Amino acid sequence: MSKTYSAPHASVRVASRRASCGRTDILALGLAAALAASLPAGVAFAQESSSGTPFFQIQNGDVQPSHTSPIRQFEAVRGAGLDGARPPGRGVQPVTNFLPRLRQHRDSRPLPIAPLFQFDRAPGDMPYRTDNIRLPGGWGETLRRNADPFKVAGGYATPGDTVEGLGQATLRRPEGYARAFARGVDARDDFEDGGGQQVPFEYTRNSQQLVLGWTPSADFEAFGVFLRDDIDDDATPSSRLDNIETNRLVGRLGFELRDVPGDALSRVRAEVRIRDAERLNNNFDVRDFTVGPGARRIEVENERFFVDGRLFGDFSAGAFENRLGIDWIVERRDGERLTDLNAASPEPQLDGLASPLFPDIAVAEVGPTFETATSLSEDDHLRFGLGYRFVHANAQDTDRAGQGPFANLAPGLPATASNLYDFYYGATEVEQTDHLLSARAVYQHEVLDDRLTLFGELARTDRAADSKERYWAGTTPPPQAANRLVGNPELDPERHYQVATGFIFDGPDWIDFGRVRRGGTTILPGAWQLSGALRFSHVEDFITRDSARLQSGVLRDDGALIFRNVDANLFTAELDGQWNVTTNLSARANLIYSYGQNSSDDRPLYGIAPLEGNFLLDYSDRLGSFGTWSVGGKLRLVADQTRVDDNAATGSGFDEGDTDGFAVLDLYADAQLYDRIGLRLGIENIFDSDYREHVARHTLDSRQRERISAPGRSLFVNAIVTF
Amino acid sequence: MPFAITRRSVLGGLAAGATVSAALSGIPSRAFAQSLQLFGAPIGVSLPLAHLVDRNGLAPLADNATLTIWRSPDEMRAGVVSGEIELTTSPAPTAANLYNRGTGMRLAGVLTTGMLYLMTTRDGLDDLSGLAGQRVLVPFRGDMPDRVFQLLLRAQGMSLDDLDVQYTATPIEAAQLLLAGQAEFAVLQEPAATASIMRGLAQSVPVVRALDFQELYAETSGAALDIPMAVLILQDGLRQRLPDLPNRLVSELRDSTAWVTNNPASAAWLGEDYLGLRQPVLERAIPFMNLSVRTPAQARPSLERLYATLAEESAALLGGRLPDDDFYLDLQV
Repeated sequence: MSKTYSAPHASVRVASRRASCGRTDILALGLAAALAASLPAGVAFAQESSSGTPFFQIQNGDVQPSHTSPIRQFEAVRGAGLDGARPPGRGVQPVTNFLPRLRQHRDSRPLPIAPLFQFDRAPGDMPYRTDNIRLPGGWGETLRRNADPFKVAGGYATPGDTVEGLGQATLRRPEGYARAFARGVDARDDFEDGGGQQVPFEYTRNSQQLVLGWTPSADFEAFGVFLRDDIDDDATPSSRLDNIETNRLVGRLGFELRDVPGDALSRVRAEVRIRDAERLNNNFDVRDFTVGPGARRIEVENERFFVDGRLFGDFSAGAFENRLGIDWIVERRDGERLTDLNAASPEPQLDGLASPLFPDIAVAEVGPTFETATSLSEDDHLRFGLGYRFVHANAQDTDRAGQGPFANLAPGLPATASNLYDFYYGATEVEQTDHLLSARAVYQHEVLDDRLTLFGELARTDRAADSKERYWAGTTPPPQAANRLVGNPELDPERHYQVATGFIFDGPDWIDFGRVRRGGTTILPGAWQLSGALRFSHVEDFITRDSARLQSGVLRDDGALIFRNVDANLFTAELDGQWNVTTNLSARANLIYSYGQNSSDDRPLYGIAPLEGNFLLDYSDRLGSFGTWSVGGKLRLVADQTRVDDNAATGSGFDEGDTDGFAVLDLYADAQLYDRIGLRLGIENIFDSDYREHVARHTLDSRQRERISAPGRSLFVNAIVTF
Repeated sequence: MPFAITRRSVLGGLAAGATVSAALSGIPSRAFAQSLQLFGAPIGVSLPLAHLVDRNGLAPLADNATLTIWRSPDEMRAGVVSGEIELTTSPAPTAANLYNRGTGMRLAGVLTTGMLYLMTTRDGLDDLSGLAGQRVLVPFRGDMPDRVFQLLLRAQGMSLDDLDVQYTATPIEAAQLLLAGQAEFAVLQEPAATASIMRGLAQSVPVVRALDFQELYAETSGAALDIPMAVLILQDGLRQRLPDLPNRLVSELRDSTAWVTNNPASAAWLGEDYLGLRQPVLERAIPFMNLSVRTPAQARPSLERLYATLAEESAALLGGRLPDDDFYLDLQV
């Protein structure tokens, strides 16, 4: 890293700019807010979605079981390019969920909101580790899910000298439910990687969530979820800017009617969600900035606003369970890059527009879906979904040009978004419409008393370019043309053709990891589960990032980041074995392999994780007189990744080079007293391996990103009390 | 495979391997042999037995114990008569009945002080007199909940004639009818009582625990006696083979009962694996199960009163007579 950081100074400056509370005060306020309210077991967070999949999951106010059913284990093809090709599940699944979310398309975004409540990992958010398999939850699962209405927890981790505190209160009544949750995190210092290098790492975070439900009868439920999440002073050494402020507000309202008048429908559900995210990034608040030749303050303001929702009804027709619905999403995105017109200004002025960046983008998608499921026999199940989406996209502020030294893309050509598109792709129509058609069929066969499930699926799904892929307008002066970020409004939609097959095979005594079916005989050798899946996806018009060099449809050869359509193939294979060796000892092994190829350009696809194996061992005594204790560890082996797309002169350059393989061993020990008080100790990376993830999460997107080494040997402790 | 093998990673692998090896060496051989089979009812009183078996608490006296859950008292009775079941939990009247039929089953312990409650969907019920003229759901006609309920009514100067009693085949059926609005009151034992509350939450029907029959029963006895609903019985043949078993069993069950009471969430997970009952229901029901382990001598006054009460209506329930002294094993715990 060429930048130097000075965290204490940055903190002072930021505090004065925003007149905000101190971090300690914020943490205390967060906890107080949680404890002041009364709350229920009402809502479980699903993974944050960037493409319309559920953000929260509410099921009648009940907390979702955390141990997933075997069938759900296929829901995420972890570590692969394919990130969400869903497996067969039970019941009807929305067509809108059929679309794989590819890691290559994952927009950089702030630290994830979910999960809010986790005790098996070190406190804080560590974007530089992307483990595929997590450690067993241990006592945390029992305490997180126990019946107590109040839960208070805290933790400390040596990376970043990080402290975390959280609280939750729940109230459940026949008439409704409520839950309040608050969490505060303060990462206060750099951490040391396995090579002994200091990595800048600091941020503060405060999150609050309120869930309300009204259940006046068994046939009606109305719910509301409100969430606020603030992240401040987030040092981002992988980028040239830091995350100074990230403020997110989420609201979700909906109802479900289970006794619909008339005979046509058995259930109607409607919900609408509003998300507002504001981000402020710059290069002078958290990190040191020195006025001098070539130095320039940069600040980026970014705002995204989503309104999305769905309305559907369930009905039966013969042996078919059906769902007919409509869903929609509207996105507004606006952002700009500011700078000091006088680069030598001793104080930030930010009086000049350096780039329009996101020129008031508006994207709307709407369309109907139809889904059906039926059982062909007791052991054979079939489900099918069909969906259409109309997409309208436009950018409404494409004629605003940069100022001062950022005024032109080329001599006489103002640095506007529309000129940028035309400059790279020729005459471009900014306003675009797409028509998307998706279909998916899944067949599932169960044998051996349902202990062996086999499935196969065929799907064709369409995906339209997102707002960044279409309209990103990172203009720069001609000498820095290679740093330009150029969305392509005329991108065609991607068309995914997928085929998948797999199996889940349970031993006769298998319940879950660490749980054995009891009976007249305890046949422990039967407490195992083996599962595997293969997935292949051919993508026509895959939307790839690339480096401008006069490719078909690209008019420039200056190395700017551009977007274009190519064809691509993706393949993933996963094998997972779990065995409860005794009622106390459990083991697990998991292997994932991924492959991606840009077949149009005949080069590896970027963002493909290397072969990874995880091996877990857990010894738990759940029967101790005082409570529960467990010890265990995980060995993670990751292979080299040499199939990369890291050369901007011949490829996209979006991979950051080859990555060496590595081995990391984590150990943990936890104990809980009387299902009320818990403590967990962890040692991560016990052999102090110096490693970097090949596909690391980034919270900022830019042309120049650097991979950051993960922390070296580190310790953490978590504690929880419920009452 | 192109792993970057370093000295550190090799050491890590060796350490993990050593851990696996050490752990595997501790696999109990009891997984492949049988020596003692315990049987239990599909309700909460079997939780301490599950804990006892899982922690191998009877070793070395009876290593390799297992627990089998029977599905109905009839299944249990058949197993006792056939000789398959030598050690089991049992409803207190059934225990006396089996003893009086000469099966060789005797009382080794009492597992609860009662778990009967009057559940209601209506506010404002302070005592049984409020039930006059009301429809009340009662499971198991002529069985213990029914008999205890009648006893409490008599103590209040009432009888079944003052109520509109509707009998059901099972507690679950009574709970379902309560939630469906067929009646506003139901006599339920745990965990059905807690299940009715939780199901009510899901169906927007407020169900509350109106009366604790244990408290009312103690008031009527004048001696603060409890309702020893579930007991542990032991076959003579087993006792002869393992003469130390009864004392050891009761002693260890006390520890296991304390564990269940102190760790309701963990115990409920164990219960879900053994009993097939839902963990959230069991966790919330455990505090109302009044689990405790007493020797026959300690619980005898309560048992004799209960048996006398039952015999007033029908001695056939007890096998024709009150159990004699030999029914109560003399344990030194």
